[in-house]
Amino acid sequence: MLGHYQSVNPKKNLKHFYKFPSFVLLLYIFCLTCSSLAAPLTLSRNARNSDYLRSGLVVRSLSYACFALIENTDDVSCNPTMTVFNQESHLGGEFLLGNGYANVERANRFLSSNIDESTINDLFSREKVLQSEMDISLIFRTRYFEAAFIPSRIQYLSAVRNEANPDLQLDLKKEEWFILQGGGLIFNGFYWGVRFRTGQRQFIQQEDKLFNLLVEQNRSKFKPKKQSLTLLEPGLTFQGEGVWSPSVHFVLANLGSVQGGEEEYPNKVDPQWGLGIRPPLAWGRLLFLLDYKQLGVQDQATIQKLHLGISYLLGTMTTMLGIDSRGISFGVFSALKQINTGISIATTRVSWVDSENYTQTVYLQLGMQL
Amino acid sequence: MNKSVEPIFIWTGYLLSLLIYLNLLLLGCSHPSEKTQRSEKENKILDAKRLIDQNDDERAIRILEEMKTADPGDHDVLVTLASAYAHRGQFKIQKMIGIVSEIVRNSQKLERDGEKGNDKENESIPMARLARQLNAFLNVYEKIPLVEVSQNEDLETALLLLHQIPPHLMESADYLFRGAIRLFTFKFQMGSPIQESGEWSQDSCRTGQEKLKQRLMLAGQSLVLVLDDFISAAPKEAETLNESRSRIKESLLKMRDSGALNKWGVESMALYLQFDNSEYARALSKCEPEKKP
Repeated sequence: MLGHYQSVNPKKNLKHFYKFPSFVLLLYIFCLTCSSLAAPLTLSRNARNSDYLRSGLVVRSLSYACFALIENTDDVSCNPTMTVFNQESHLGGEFLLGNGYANVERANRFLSSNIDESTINDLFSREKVLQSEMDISLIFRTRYFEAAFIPSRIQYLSAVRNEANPDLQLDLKKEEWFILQGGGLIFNGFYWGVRFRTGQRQFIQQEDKLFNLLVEQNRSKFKPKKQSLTLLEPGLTFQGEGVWSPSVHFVLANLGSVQGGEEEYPNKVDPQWGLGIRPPLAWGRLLFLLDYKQLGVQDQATIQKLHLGISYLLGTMTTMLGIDSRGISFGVFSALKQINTGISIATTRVSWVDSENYTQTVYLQLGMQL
Repeated sequence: MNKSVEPIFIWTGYLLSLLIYLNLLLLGCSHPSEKTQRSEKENKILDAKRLIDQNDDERAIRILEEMKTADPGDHDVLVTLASAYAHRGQFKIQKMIGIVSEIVRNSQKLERDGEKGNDKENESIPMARLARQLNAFLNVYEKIPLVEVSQNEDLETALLLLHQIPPHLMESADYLFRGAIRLFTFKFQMGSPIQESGEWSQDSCRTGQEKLKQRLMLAGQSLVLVLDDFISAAPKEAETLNESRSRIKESLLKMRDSGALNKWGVESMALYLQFDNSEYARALSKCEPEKKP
């Protein structure tokens, strides 16, 4: 299917780009940016952490707007139907690190032991908001089928406010996943796909006064909890033909059984939608993506579920931009035959607003393929 | 080929536009989640907390005082306003963590020493145990910063505000916060200089001893209140604290009924407490004891 985009002469069709109501896109970007100022109930959050999804650097950079993404060489497809469009077979591993290893190690200590004076001291040793992430994945991709094993994924975020009588927010997750997914053609542009994923997470998600942590009996609230998930998520894609290659996607996410931890991570079946278009260009490949999906437990409003991504591929390098109500992300990803690297920057801060309540994350990713 | 696919493109484009227009129409640029998810009160309190972290206590206090005028009994407003005053009085959690660590370190040491003492019960000397306890107290006492007069006034204001919270709304964290502030005011009561009286005469000696006694009584009462707050915060873990509180209360009662401090009392203060008025206490200890009629 990818061949269709390459078979047309892009120069002839550039005029179509101006037909598209691009001013609406700009207005949309502006308004999403406005809404990103709206802080949630929590003290702070990461722009590109999801309670429900895990992903590599590319999808993260696109603010998880990824249903129409085919050129995703750092992870399994985020839409199972897109396995149909895999061109080659790959077996490889990816290592993603966000904001350094020190905080990952700190998260491990929180999860593996009880909270004591030294861990509390840690919270005040540096900035008011600390965050970090690590994701290790082994991925196999071939046409119609993909598999992934994620032996360790750690997310850490802590925030403290009011140094006289501090409020503490702690959001830690350690996950393991096994994913199988595949798809096929139904008829004439319609494709099916299904993803099976099973995993478990150990987590601490609490917001409390720090003084409460000094009382032994209150510390049990900060003890790690466990959740096991087994999910089967079907998907459907309509891939239109032509110069702009429009596509419409549907995935029924979070369908399955969950044990434990439902107070913090309720498993709600989420009907997700996605649109994609590929305006023709003289050089490179441009892709606009718009997905409607819930990333965080608190993201209930419609605008919080909308995610816009723009990807531009030139040669071996992809430049990505993602905008949604959580913030803005920008990434560069380069994939050679056997090695890939990428960097992505995500922020909840908007330059014209003087706000202390923001986080910035720098992700680095390195991958090897056989 | 282009002609045949153009309707699909237009359809997708307009579907996308319609979706976006609907979003703009419904939500606009008006910070929807902020309005819907967090109340105005919560926003103002969060702003005040940020101002405290930026060391802009004055603005935080202004905002919170206005909120208190509108709703004098609100728990969150009172606690946050108390924290703004406490912060202006140099009360910071970073300083508290040092004190808590010292308390933990010393209690563990005392426990270890206690276990050793049990093994050699015959060799244990009550005075040695007392000295160890005093030493532990002094280690903790040293970690508590001595604030200035104006800062102590802010801390007292913070305590008054916390006292305005109805008891049924007090949480563990509030008791601990109040107890921690009291530790600072306790140090102030012990450590702030007592006015020197120059040459010691019989009269000035008597006045000096009375002043010292009152100061010690006040500090002792503060310590009892600190323990009261800590006990209220964690009643299940408060067995040792309860014992200490009873002992201090008993000493206070004895001190109150004993009249002027005797030479031994003043000397022991000078020797063991070594607080910032130790020079004053040493000078007092040179006064001749009053002859009983």
